[in-house]
Amino acid sequence: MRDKRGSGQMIILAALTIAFILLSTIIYVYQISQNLRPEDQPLHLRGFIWNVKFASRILVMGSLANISNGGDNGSLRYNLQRLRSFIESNYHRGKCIFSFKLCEVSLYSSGLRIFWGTDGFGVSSAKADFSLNLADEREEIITKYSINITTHILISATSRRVRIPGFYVIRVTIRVFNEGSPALCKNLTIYYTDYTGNWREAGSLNFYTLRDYGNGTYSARFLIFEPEGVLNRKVKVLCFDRREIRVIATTTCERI
Amino acid sequence: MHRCRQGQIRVLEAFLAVIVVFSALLLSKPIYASYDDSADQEILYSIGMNALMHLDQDGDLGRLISQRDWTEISSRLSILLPIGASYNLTVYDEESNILNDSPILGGDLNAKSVVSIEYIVVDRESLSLYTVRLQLAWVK
Repeated sequence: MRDKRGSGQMIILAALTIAFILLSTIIYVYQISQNLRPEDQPLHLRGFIWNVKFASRILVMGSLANISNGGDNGSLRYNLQRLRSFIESNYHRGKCIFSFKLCEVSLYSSGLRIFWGTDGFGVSSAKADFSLNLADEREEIITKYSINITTHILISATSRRVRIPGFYVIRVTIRVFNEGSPALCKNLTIYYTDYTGNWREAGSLNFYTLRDYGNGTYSARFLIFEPEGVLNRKVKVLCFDRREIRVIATTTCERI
Repeated sequence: MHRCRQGQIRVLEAFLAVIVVFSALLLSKPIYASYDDSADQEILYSIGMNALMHLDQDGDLGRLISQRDWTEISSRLSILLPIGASYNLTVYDEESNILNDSPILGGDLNAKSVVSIEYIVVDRESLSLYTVRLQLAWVK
């Protein structure tokens, strides 16, 4: 009698254990499925945030290319304002606030720094800070990021008198950088001053060679004839990088 | 008589066990199905988003839209998307007008689950803003 009662209790215990295991499995599977619901996925958010970052980068890049080619300085702000309203109206999953602040620190004014110097350095740069606030009834995500698009060039030039009287060999070394890293350029034009002080294009000379080292360094060599000789000859380089951003730098030839 | 009754109880127990197991399976099936469906949608979304990102590398998508080169966009998408994924791409301008006068599609979108991806595009040269809507589905 005692044995039979004990075996019944064991069966009940076993049944309860099995029920508990089954129930916990169901709950576990249900919880996983809840977490993986498409509407809860951060993937859409991540995708949207990435898209906004990329779009703002392209817009800053395009605006800088436009401004460095003679466009209005105010176009950067105007274009970003257009992007802001476009992004805010194209987010349908809740509230979206997109804001930007143009860099006003030291060398920048209204997010721009365009300095084409006479000491062999030229820079075209645009910088802005962005904030993207996405919110729905459950959560709020704030993303802050900065965009800095900078193209700068460093040039140096030497002038050497050759054995034939009145002839000079000019060598120009150009280094191109995008955001501080060596970069390739799309187009390079080199100018030099003649004895009257007028700018002349070196590329139109017969003895002109431009060498591309493939690592953002370019070297130009050309031969000019000037019987009078020029003191402090200047060389100017006009560079368009692959993003169509224009930079100019001028330097004085070092006589060797 | 007693043994016969014990046997009946064992049969009843076996039936109960079968019922418990099958009901558990039945209960978990819709959950598994929804999990499967959401995972499928997630994969499709990732594929679509990656394809658009690749297509827009160096601002190429904006340039192609500005040039109204729908054929090139369609052929590039067909290369970027895996075999078995059908798509339909619609391009909108800043005022939400549809720009593509010819459909940009590949395959049939008549599937159980279709994923829709919206992507903002900027043309680097004209600085025009566009939205593209990519609808994706697995071909049946």
